Amino acid sequence: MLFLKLARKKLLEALKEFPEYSFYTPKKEGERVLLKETSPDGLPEDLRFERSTASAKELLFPQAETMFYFLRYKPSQKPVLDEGKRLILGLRPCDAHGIQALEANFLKVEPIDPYFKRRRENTLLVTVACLEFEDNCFCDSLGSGPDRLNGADAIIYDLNDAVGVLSNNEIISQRLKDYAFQIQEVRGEDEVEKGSLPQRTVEPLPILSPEEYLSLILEEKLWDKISSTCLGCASCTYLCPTCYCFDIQDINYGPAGKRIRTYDSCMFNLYTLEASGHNPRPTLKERWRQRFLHKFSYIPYLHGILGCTGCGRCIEVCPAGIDMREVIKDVAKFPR
Amino acid sequence: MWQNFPVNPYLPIPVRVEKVRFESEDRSLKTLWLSLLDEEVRKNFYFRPGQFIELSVPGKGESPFGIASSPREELIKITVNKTGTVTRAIHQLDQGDIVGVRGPFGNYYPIEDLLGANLFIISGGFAFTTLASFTEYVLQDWSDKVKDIDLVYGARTPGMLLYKDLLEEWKGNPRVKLHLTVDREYPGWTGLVGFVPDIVAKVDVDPLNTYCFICGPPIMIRLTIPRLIEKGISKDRIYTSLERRMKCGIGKCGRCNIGLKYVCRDGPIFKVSELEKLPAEY
Ligand SMILES: Cc1cc2nc3c(=O)[nH]c(=O)nc-3n(C[C@H](O)[C@H](O)[C@H](O)COP(=O)(O)OP(=O)(O)OC[C@H]3O[C@@H](n4cnc5c(N)ncnc54)[C@H](O)[C@@H]3O)c2cc1C
Ligand code: SF4
Ligand code: FES
Repeated sequence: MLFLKLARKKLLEALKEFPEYSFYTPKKEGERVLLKETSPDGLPEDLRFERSTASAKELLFPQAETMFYFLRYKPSQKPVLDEGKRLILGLRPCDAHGIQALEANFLKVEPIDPYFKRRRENTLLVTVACLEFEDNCFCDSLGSGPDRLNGADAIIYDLNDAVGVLSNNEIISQRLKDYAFQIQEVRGEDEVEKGSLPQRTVEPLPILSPEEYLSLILEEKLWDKISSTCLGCASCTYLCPTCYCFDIQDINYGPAGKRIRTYDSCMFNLYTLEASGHNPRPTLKERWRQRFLHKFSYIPYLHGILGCTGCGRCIEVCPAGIDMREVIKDVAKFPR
Repeated sequence: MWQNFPVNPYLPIPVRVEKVRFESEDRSLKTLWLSLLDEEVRKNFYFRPGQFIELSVPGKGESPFGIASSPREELIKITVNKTGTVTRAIHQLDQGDIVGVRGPFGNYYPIEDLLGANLFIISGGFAFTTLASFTEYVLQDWSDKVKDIDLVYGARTPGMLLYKDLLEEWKGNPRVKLHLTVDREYPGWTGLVGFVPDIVAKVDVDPLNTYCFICGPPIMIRLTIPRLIEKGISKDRIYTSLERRMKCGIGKCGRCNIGLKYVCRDGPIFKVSELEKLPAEY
């Protein structure tokens, strides 16, 4: 892993070394901050971006994608793989944690997901360490930010007059090398100069172990209480950087068509409804348990990484005002 | 397994429908026999009873179905209940049609553990598919290695019982004790009458040397398990096949997740002792 120090201007200049990549950065459009293709020339010199409404998930695992086409009802044996090369700049460390959770599902367990794999291989994810906490974020309680590399290919630290770039990616370190005034071989974030980091004044959240959370799996009362005001709209799961559940559907244009996959959500009633009318998760109580434990117990248990990034998007979007931080506290308080 | 799909585990491989037959009197169940088109794929296609495939009708979608044929047979047999978009399209298929298959997926009945044991096979409705495959396979390949087989199989009416040809064959086999039952008295029916759990309660088995396999509607499974436990059978020896809504079949789409398990990958077959650790989401 390399730590490179560059003059601010030099970093912007060095971005010209990635001609085959399209650049994506967060851009404000009305109420929302979208991940949009931009020219590397027009980037803000301070490299500060607003937090995007959706996370990096949407570029690596889009809300809808074509898997393959069929013609005369015969599936093509050629999958539709996205070959575009992208450099995503200006996301947050928590987003890179989200990517890591997606990688655990799509890449770490056989069989490998070819669609995600190709996109990930073609993507350079460069995050910027946060200078301050937003109202709703809690990454510091989860260990996923605000200065962590996580699943990013590089993270940029603000060192006042210069920037520090920590990267474990060959392409990035090779192409930035000539622009750096200092290069250091390091093992991780803890060995590098990070500039000023945001300071937390509130108590960290009580995070239990995956086993402790798992032991609450049969506590109906707990899940009942937590889900009591939820509307089941699933907005939280669509914006969640780690939610990867998808549906597979066919779309027809006469005898030709395509098979697509789209986000799906465990918060929907239809998600588990079976042909017989039987629904193994009939109420929001079971669905909330699934959403919470999948993130805080099953993913950590199976993959060694928390399924929550602390980005706070679910808190912002929830029309019922459910706050994940309060849920975390309620769960921790429940007698085990 | 997905080793059959070196390129892409989501791409169906072409199969031809070789034969179709209505399986039930009300025509809601149809059996299809499929053959893999590609010689190479056919040579490497290997499954164990209990596993399932995803059958694609391009343009309509894809659905999971338990494999009902024995691995000994040339063709892959499935029986499909008409309930929705994909299953309706499958019912319209005829001999010669080409569709797609992915799989086999999931785990299988633990045949190696059954040396010298009695088998108690319990099924209701059209979920009999994989247990028919299992029974047939045991009789073909393992009949000298297991002791006796008790088979309780129930349907609403006699006309709804699957695979009457196989049932007829097994009737003549001294190794199999068949307990066929229908929900209510029916003209001409000479078999048992009553629901599967009640019939199970009456079957005499050696609790210390019997492995049980249950596949049926969730309510039948839930009522049958206590009847077996009452007999003194260990929860480690009672297996049941769970049916969950599935999409990918390979542990990616998240849909079939219960607790730490993915039913498509870690199941669909679970011991009752394993299920107890999961929320009752089945
Ligand atoms: C491991 C496994 C093995 C199965 N084996 C068989 C079999 O041997 N024979 C058979 O007839 N059926 C079997 N099923 C059920 C079968 O897959 C569903 O009936 C089928 O997917 C419904 O598809 P559809 O498009 O016709 O229905 P849709 O139009 O999608 O929906 C109709 C209804 O079916 C429900 N549904 C959709 N998918 C499933 C599903 N996967 N499981 C349960 N309900 C669902 C929907 O909620 C809806 O209520 C099996 C399911 C699993 C998971
Ligand atoms: S956004 Fe809020 S109301 Fe909607 S499903 Fe999530 S928790 Fe429930
Ligand atoms: S069906 Fe997709 S994870 Fe099991």
